[in-house]
This record gives sequence, C-alpha cells and structure tokens, in this order.
Amino acid sequence: MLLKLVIASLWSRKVMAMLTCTSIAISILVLIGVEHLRSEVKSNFERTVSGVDLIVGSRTSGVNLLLFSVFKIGNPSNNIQWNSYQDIVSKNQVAWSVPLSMGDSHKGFSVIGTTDDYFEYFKYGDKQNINFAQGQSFKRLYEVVLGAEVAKKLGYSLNQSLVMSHGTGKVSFTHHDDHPFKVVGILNSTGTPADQSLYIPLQSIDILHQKQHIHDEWLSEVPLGEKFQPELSAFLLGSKSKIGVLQMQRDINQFKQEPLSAILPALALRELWKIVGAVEISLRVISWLILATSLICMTTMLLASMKERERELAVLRALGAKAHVIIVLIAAEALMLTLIGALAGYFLVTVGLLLGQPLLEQHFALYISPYVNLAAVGRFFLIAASAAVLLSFIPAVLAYKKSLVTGLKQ
Amino acid sequence: MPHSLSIKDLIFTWSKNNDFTLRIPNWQIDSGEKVFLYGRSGEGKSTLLNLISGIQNSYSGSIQVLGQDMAKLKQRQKDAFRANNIGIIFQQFNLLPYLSAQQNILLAQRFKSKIQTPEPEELASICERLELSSNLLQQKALELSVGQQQRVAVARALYGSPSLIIADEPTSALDTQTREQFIQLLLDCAQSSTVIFVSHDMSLASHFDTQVALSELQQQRSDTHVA
Repeated sequence: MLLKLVIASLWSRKVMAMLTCTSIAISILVLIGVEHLRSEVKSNFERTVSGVDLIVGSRTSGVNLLLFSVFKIGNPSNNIQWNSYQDIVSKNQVAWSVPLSMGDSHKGFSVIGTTDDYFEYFKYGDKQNINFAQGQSFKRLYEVVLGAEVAKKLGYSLNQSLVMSHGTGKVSFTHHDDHPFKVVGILNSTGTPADQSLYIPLQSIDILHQKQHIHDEWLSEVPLGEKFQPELSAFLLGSKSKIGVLQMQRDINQFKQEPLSAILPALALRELWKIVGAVEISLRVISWLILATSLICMTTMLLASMKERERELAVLRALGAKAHVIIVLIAAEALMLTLIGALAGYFLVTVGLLLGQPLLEQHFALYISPYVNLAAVGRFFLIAASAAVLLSFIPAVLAYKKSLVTGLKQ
Repeated sequence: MPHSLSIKDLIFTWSKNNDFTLRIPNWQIDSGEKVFLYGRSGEGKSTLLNLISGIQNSYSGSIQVLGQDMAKLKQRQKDAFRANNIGIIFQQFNLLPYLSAQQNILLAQRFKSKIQTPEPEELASICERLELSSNLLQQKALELSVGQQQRVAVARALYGSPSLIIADEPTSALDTQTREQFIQLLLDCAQSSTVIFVSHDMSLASHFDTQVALSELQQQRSDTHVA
C-alpha cells in the first residue's frame, strides 16, 4: 500500500520525477560506460602480445620499443645489424626468434618484413596463434599476407596485386611500383594491432630498400644471411626455459657490438598501462562526481516537494500512520527514482554499445563487448541506491522533526 | 454512561522559550454527545486536538479517550488507537490529491491494527447519504470542489464507525449555505459517534447538544472536582 502511495505521489509529480530519473540514468550510463570501456580496453591491450619472452630493439625505452614493435606506433631509434641478430639467436638458450623490419606502408597500414616463423610464434590473447582465414604464408619473394582489418577495409582478396610505399604515411610519394606483390594469405581477426599490418618476406624489404632488381624467386632459393642481410627494426625471442629469460635479457642489454634493449612484454605493457592509468583515474573520478551531482539534484527535488508533503503527512498521521512513515515514504521515493534511473542507464549503455561497437571496431580496431559486466553494474546499483537512501534522510528527517512539533496543524 | 473523553489537570507547555500554556483542569464528554468547542485562533484548539488524538505528547495530568488512558500507550499504540477509534476531519486539505476519492476513503483502513474486511454496504450507504456518486468517487481528489472534498473527508472519518469524531474547523472553507448543510449532514451520519466540533464561528453552535468555550474550560478550577 505504501508502495502504491509512493508511486501515486511520484506520478503526480511526473515531470520532475522523469527529469530526476533521466539525470540519474545519464550518470549511471557514464559510470557503467567508463568502467566497461576501461576494462575492455585494458583486456584488449593485454591481449596484444603473448607467448613472446623478449622483444629486442636498438637501445631505447621499454615503452617505445613495445609501441613500435607491437602497436606499430612511432619509429625505432636505430636499426639492428644483421650480424648482431645472428650472434644473439645463435646462443643456446634461444628456442626461436622472429625478425621484424618496419618502415614501409600500404595505404596507411604498416608493412612488416618478417619470416614465416612470425605466424607460428607470435601469439595474442591467451597464447592463441594467428591462423590463416584464407591461403597460406608467403613462399616467394613478391608475396604478401594481409592482416584481417587490412583485407576487410581495403576489400582485398587472394591473388590481388599490391604496391608498397616507402615511409609510413598514408600518402607516400615513393612507390615501389616496379615490384607488385601478390596476396597469398589473409589472417583471421585477432582484435589486436596484428590485424592492421601487411606481412612480406624479410628479403623483399631488403630488395625494396636497396632498390635492387631481382626477379620473383622461391624464398628457399634466396635464403637470408647470404645475399640478403637486412637491418632489423626489432626481433622477438622465445627462450628454452623461463629461468633463462632474465639471463638472456641481461646479456642482450650488455651486448658489446651495439647498444641493444631487451624487454619483457608483460612488464612493458604494465608500464605503458600506467601512463594510460592517469586518464583512467580521472575518467573514473569524473563519472563518480556526475553520479554524486545527480543524487544531490534528486535530494534538492525531494526537499522542494516537502511543502506539499507536510499536508500529505498530516493526513496520513490523522489516519493513524506512525510518525516515521514520512521517512519510509521519502526513502522509498528516492530508492525508486534511483533504481528506475539506473535501469534506464544500464539499458542505454547496452543499446549504445550494441549500436556503437561496429564503429569502435572499424575506427579504433577496438573490440568492445556490448555486454557489460553484471557484477560491476550490480555494485554501481547498490552504491547508487544506498547513497540515494542516505541522502533522502536529509529531507525525510527534517520533515519528521517538523511533524513532531506541529502535529496536525496545517 | 461512560465518558468518551475525560480530561483532568491537563497542563501542556509548548516549549521552554514559549510561555503559552494550555491548562484544562476538568472536562468530560459523554458517549454520543455532540460538542461544539468554541475557540479563537491561537487559543490552543489544534494543540488540544493533537493531545486528544495522541499525536502530541509530554503533558502532565490525565487524558482518557473512550476509557483509555493515553499516557499509558506507547506512541505506536497511540497511532493504532487513533486509526481504530478516531475519525479526524480538517479545515481543508483532507485528501491526498493524487488519489481518487474512493482511494482516500479506503486509505484509513490501512492503518488499523485489526485488518477489517472492507464492507462495501457500509461504504455504499455512507456515500449515498453524503451524496457521493460512484462517478465522483473515481475522480482524483484534486479535481473535486472544496465542498465535495469535505464530504469525502466526512465519509472517510465515518467509515469503520469510529467512536469519536474530531472535526477541526471543517467548514471554514465553505460558504454560509453549504456550511449549514454540511454540519447537518455530518451530525445525521454520525449519530452513533461522539463528535467534537471545533470552530471560531459561534453561529454554528446551535446545531450541537453542548457548547463549550475553550477559554471557559481553561478558567475552571480543578480543586472542586478533586476528591
């Protein structure tokens, strides 16, 4: 019955109630949205590289090395000589290695020169392999494998011919158009920067840069290390044992022939996330402040309605309602407004994510799940509801005290 | 005949920094009596009604309502006692504006301690006597005229046949002609109940069995009644 009273009373002030609900809905939307994006971006971020023990580049900071080798952001400060690479990978702790050479592009996507070991050893997520959706790895000099996003966005299919450009800009004036590449493989989507690259044999990078003219050959006919000794931007290492990794890292950092840096990907990721973390915290603080503001607005609304409720209270008291009924009524009203607002906010977030997810994926290569974490939502609901009830005690207790003094006097 | 109301040596002081004191040495109302209580504004009429109906506390002396010593009840019990036994009609704003007239009438049942099965016949007969059509009963209270609202308030006060009905200036918002009709209607319908009708308008006094002025009650000496 009291619930019916609350609903009828709220309904009689529906414009105000709806505005209050809307403001709470928006604040819950921001809160859930920020939290969801944060955790999704973080897990996306942590998925980018897996199963790699060390990333090696010329002497630079760990974050920089991680950014250009994995995220394809920025440039290497220097290249690694082929001989140094050979020296390091010949050590017996090394289980495998994948050389990487960057610096070319195709229509804004980075072109990576590597070996077909890349598709075997570079992993993402929970040590998942990058598989081929179509075709296979490159076997000849002028063959290219496409990341999923590249193929999708540029609409490429198998056997198509492409021309690489020098430099990483979207518009380049140096085209290597005397060496068109044939698409032989397209990778599965991984939701990581690996989808945004084209992969060609390391030998071909050398050909492009040396401006040599060499006819298309089987890669097995032109092995690395003989005719081709390309400089590398970075390389990935796998160790035979976990214990060997730190020793290997120390050895590489103290490498005599040239200054090199070796980083543990997980540590570098954490370091990088710390930089993003400041933004993360301020976003969270702002979203909590928005919630606080809308709850205070609701309290103001409740206070403003107290005048007409004094009469309401006098009537209820005369009918035999206990004095604290006003506290229950107002707290119930606050609770109801908050829960309706919160549900609306949750609904809006889900609809927004369902609609916006393809756009995020297309423009930022972020795979954001449209389904928010219900435990987090429940926690927000609980916090918002408790705060609302606590705040509602301000008008409720004021009205209660007043009613004790004035009784039924109108 | 038992008293519906019996007050002895009542002293009520508002607060420490307010020197107004309500003092009623001795006042009894018989069961079924229709009493007109005259008082000017500010004399403490509302305070007295709040004390009788158990909404205000901390007085000295004794107040017995329908044989029940109010001081012996806890606040919760007082509220329940009021719900069960007393019907109250205000000057104005008797109804919750967002409920229908009928919902307002039935609202009182909610607070009664024993769940009374609503008796449709009783409600129908009250509404008939008060000329409340079923159409009117479905309307929102705020859509009714003041006169209609007051009749709904009477219906609510009467519903469940309370032994005591307290009316606090219920006619002050009505015009003279409606006033007479309203009082006659109230008294006709409340024949079996005790009625305390409070007003500052002496012209209404003739409708009642007994007329009392609050100022006279306050001037009485209590010692003549103390054994």
